[in-house]
Amino acid sequence: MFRHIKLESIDDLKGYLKNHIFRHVYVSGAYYQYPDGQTMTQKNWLGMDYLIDIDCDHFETSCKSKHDSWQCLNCGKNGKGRPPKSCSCGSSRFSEFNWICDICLEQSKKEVLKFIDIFLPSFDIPRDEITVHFSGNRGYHIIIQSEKIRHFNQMERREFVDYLTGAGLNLKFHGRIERKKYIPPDPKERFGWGEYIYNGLIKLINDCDNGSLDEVNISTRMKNIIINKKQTILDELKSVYHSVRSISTETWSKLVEYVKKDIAMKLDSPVSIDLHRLIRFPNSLHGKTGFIVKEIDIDKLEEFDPFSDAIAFLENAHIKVEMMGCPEFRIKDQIYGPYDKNQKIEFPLPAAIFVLAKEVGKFI
Amino acid sequence: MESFFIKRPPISFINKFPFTKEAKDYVRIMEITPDNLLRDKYLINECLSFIKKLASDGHSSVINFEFHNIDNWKCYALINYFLYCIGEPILWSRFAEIMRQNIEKELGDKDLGNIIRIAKNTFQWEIEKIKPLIIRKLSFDWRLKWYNYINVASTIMDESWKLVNNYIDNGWVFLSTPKIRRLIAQKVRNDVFNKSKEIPKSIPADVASMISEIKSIVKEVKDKYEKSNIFITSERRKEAYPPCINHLLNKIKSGMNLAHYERLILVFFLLNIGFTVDEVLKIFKLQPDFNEEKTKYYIKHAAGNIGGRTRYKPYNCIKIQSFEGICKKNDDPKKWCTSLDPKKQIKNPIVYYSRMVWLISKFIQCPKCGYRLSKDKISNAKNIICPNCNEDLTDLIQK
Ligand code: SF4
Ligand SMILES: [Zn+2]
Ligand SMILES: [Zn+2]
Repeated sequence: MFRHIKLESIDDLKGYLKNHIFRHVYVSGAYYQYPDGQTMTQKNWLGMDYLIDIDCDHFETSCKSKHDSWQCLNCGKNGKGRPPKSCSCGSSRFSEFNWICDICLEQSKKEVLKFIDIFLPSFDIPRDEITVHFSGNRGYHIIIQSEKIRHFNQMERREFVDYLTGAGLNLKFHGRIERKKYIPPDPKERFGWGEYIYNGLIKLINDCDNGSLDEVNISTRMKNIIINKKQTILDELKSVYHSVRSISTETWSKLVEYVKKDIAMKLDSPVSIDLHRLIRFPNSLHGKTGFIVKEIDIDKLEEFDPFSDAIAFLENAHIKVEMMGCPEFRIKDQIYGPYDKNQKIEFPLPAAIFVLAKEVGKFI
Repeated sequence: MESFFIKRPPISFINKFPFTKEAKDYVRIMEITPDNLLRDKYLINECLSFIKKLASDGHSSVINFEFHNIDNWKCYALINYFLYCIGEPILWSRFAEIMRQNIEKELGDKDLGNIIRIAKNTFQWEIEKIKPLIIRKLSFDWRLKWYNYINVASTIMDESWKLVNNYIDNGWVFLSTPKIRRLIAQKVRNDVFNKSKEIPKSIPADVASMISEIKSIVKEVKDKYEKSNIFITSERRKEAYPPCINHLLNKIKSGMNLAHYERLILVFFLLNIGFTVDEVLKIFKLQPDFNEEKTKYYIKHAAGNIGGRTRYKPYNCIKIQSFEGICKKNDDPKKWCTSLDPKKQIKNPIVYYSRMVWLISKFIQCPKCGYRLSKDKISNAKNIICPNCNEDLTDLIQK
């Protein structure tokens, strides 16, 4: 590991990267007076960008049970998806195998879009102070480079991250609670989380005939009632002195709870609170995929396809690889695998690099 | 509007709010230095007796920032100078708490001009008085930029102050007048307390003698605290605590205010290893804003969770490490906290504690060299000597 490096020009950087071939390249998210100081005191901390790390490792996705697996380090038992809290042998130490696919990366992207579409309008952070990167592997990074935020201490950083994740949210401050029933705020008092939840509820009810209620923990009978009374409920919600009579208190609080969870950002909080984080160097290659750590134009975020747009190598060269087994994956329009152990495959370069970087295959 | 700020404020403003930029400017223009102030015997006496009260009476609710026949701003300046020379965080934090309460009182209901003046000139806040927004009978008369807001609100331990529970729009947080008042007072408190980080350089001999009495009062108070807690934080138990917990206990002992999460970490740890609510309460006594009722309620609440179904697990190391400066794993004499071996590694301070307690119960430690020998091995022998330094341990065993 090479740390505490200070480079003064782009040419220096190019030279440095050419002389040492690195598998991973990072840049400090913090600003220092003397970046090459060996200790934190010597460096003299001046500030730190605000980092939001979204990694599909931090939330459940339906695909994990298909492409992730674990093995108990004690008894060798294995299974699909995430490891259990403890193995039937009592051990809680596992080796894990993680994979990426369209579903989990799409879910990660949804978190970024939530930040841009739902949270950002509440703040006065200009768009040009925000950069979004595909991390090169399992998610996205949002980097806020703002003069106002750079000096935040840990408590301030935590306060902001709590806002995004809804930690400590008490609905009694946003709307009324009457007989345990949450009544969303009136239009003139709709700010921040009160507004998000209100909009979320409208959307949920609006889409109820399109399966938006599928994942809400209420009975099918209740779901049908909502679908049948959709217009009444929406009208009640939209009226100025509304109270929503059509749904029982219990169902109502489940809907609100669902919306709240859905809005809350799933991110890696410690990253946002840290004052000294490293960030993957933009446009470097991620050493575990060979994909580009790619900056994405916020307006084109929705179209961004990591499995095409972050590919660094051309497809005209081919490499032979002996597989150790892996789930299927996609590079551009081509779907590869799944592969078994000992299969010998000749891949186009981008797929070969991916397999080698993921360490599920070796050169032959 | 502009001229309102340029006009020099009356001396009464400076007396009420001696921490402001206006007051500092005034002190500068009048060329007032500690030396000038130290010529005034009466002033010195007033200030020293105020600090003495701080040191002995402790809790802020009984002390007022009030002086007779003398300018408040002078007292403020000299008290700051003395506190700087004494260098005791516990005095700073008590003083900070008193200033907070005082400012909140001084920023009365009528004088909204002072709020704007202080917020803009001294704190450089982006703040605006707005057409009142009435929401459920509450009047929101102000808006303040969110980064100014969280700078202070993040230090107030109450859910109603969390950004997530407030109205925010395009970077503005809407606030009522009482809340703005509290924010300003809290900001003063934080700024005063932060001065405790300055380390005194050279202290003139005459000042040193003036403050020596206070220093010994502080020492007495601390000793008393130590004694009252001798059982619960005895050396023997301390040996079993992980470095992070000892660090927090030391912080309390030096009178520093613990942040909200620091208190939580400590409370949950202590309750989990079997402290009673009263024992935990005793430990928090030295906190500058200590309020017996409130603290008790708060600890009971945590304890209730432990007895009830939603058993609250103590913070694990990863969580603790996400707060800068609490985990002191490099100070761990056993090197468990830094171990890379997953079997030895500490994931939770409680694990550290129970492992250490087990160790202490299984082994005896040579008082001379610190070497540990297993009790199992020595139970039959008659004369026990330390294999490391040959110290006779027979007495120790028989005890
Ligand atoms: S590693 Fe855990 S137990 Fe050890 S000091 Fe850090 S937080 Fe405390
Ligand atoms: Zn097992
Ligand atoms: Zn997936």
